[in-house]
Amino acid sequence: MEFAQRRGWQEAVRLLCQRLQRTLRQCEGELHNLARRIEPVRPEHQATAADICRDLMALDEEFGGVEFDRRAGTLSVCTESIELDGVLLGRFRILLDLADLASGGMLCYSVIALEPNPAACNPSVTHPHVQDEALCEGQGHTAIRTALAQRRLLDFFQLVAGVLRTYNEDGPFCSLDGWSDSECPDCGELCRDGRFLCCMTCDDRVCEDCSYSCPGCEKDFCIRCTALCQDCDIACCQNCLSKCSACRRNLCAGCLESRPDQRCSRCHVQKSESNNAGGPGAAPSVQEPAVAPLQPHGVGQAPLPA
Amino acid sequence: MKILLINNDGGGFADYVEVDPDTTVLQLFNRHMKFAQPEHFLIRVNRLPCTADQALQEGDRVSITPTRIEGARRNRRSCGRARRNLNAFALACPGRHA
Repeated sequence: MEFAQRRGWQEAVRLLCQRLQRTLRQCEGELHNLARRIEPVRPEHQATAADICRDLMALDEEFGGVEFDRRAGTLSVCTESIELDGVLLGRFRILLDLADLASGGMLCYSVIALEPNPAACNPSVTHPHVQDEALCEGQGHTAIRTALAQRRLLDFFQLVAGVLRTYNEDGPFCSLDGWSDSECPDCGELCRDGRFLCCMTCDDRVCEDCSYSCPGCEKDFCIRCTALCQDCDIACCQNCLSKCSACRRNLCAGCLESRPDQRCSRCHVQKSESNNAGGPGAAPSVQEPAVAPLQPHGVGQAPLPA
Repeated sequence: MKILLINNDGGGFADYVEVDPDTTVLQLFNRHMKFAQPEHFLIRVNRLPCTADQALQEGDRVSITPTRIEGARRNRRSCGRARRNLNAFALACPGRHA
């Protein structure tokens, strides 16, 4: 901005001022939000033993059962089967660790998928807002923390279940639009689950664009499990390729069958030419000596001492 | 008369509030949730579903919970940091964390 002021670029100065003001306002808002988030929760109200007992009875009715594992010190409920935007995610167990809760731990509960249908792109994401069994509470963060601090168990479980029943398309770990999309290991493109083909050799799943149908056996293979026929340049699986009897290059069954001598086109031509050359009536060819003639001693060479 | 009002919207709070006798659930909602629509909330009195015209009584527990609570994507770096801090705390104070 100083540079622009020195140069007298008034319009640039005005624009930079606007941007700076906007950024400062954003910073102010962010700092305000941050201050609110780190503000310790003041438990004005603390549930009594009777409240907790009533909460447990209400939870039993609301979720159709509460499980208390005395040994592990956990309390859990199960949600109904959750379906968001047509994607069935199954039931979830909300598991509250009472020891962690008592010690004021931030991660005192987990969300476990009972019938997991994880995102294809990340198996640890079992819900758009759950990764590694940890729920990202989003809008419900403060309310959930307050409910935990005040030991309002019914409200806590209801709030967590509420987050699980809602899809926020602006900030999921994995979008529901591409829930069953996974990455093709060959091209890296995200593809629908049904568009993957399994290689018959290595069992890798590749997208339709990266799979090759072998013309010999008509089965699907990935690019790594195929090789080109050196004659016709068609990709075939290893089982349908044979070796040229002369040069050992790959040949597909079609190319091999067309030549009874089991040779590739190059070796076949070479053999035909040599046959023609050596046939009856042909002029005898002058063969070059296989070994180069020895140079007389002293030409281009230095004698080695004995 | 005094009732316990639990508002699980936004920050979430639970506190005793004074209401006039014969105040209905809807009147209480409108007073405390000025810009909200009742149909977007699960309102319970003493942990049970209620009607909008149900009159409140002394010592009632009223909870207002939004039906839609949008989760988000956790900041992975801060999440990892929180876990590391928690682990460090657990190591430093094993008795307390156990």
